[in-house]
Amino acid sequence: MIAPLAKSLDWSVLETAYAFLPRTTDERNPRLEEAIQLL
Amino acid sequence: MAYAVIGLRHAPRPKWKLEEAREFLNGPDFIPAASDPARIEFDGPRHFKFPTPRPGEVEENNIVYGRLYRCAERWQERPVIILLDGAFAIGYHTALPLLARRINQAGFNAAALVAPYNLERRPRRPIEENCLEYAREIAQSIAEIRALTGWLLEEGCPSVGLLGFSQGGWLAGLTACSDTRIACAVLTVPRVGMKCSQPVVWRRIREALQALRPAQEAMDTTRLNLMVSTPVIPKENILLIEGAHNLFTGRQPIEDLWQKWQQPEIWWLPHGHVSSLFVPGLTGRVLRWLSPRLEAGGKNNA
Repeated sequence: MIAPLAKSLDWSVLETAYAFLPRTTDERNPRLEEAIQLL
Repeated sequence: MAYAVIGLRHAPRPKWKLEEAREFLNGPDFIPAASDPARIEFDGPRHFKFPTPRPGEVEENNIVYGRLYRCAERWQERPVIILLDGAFAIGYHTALPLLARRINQAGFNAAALVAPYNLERRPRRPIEENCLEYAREIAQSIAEIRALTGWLLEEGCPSVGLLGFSQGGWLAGLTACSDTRIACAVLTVPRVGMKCSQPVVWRRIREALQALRPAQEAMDTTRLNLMVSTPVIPKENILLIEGAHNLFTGRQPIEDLWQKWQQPEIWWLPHGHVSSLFVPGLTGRVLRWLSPRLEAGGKNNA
């Protein structure tokens, strides 16, 4: 496989996976946290 | 893995539980010498479950789910290949069933497990994530692979090999460093340790990875790092498959591992991490490599 194509495929998968990571606790809405706790 | 502890970026260091994790990983409880066979219950001809050998507080995670793809005839007389999935169990419902069919056609059984905290084993509520929990998760994965191996051998299967991809390749390596009953192991584009230097465009992720680097480096001094471990199976029965253009791990870690493990067979593919998994003809080539080792493993166990 051509190197740039292989690398761009890896890069796209990595960036997409990282984009969908849950945000850290401190970045979440604290009220939402409370609501989750309550539920 | 980096994303597993990424939520710790702003947490005070004691909450990382790094010291506790290192203590656990360096202690005898990480991979105990003994492993009991799994107590498997079948729910249909293929799907099975068993209680995890390492239960924790998350109830959903205490049951292991898996599939056994048996040979058409006298499956207990044939070797088994345990398929170990990549992160997020991405292949469990997609690629692994197709691969299992191909393995069955070659005359071997195939088995697949849902790794801890994946698919139905993941609770629908936030769970505590820190270095210690992550170390326990890896220990649990290895214990479950070993328990399944024990059950398969107890059923009469002559030998058990491991075929792991990405994170599964890492787990295959860790298991091959701890259990002499494994006949052979194929590590396809494996992760080698905790540290990662992946290109990331998202600032919050980049900063999180940077902040967590000390934790990753500390964890890499333990047996989580394949380079710190030594295989307990002959190097002739280990195959490394790596993509020359792998952006997930880069070339260096696998080259270092190859040296550290006394140069087992290694196949360099002109591919990246993802495209390495779809190389035409690779499955047949891997099966041809596995076949004599699985058959010989059976004779040794007899």
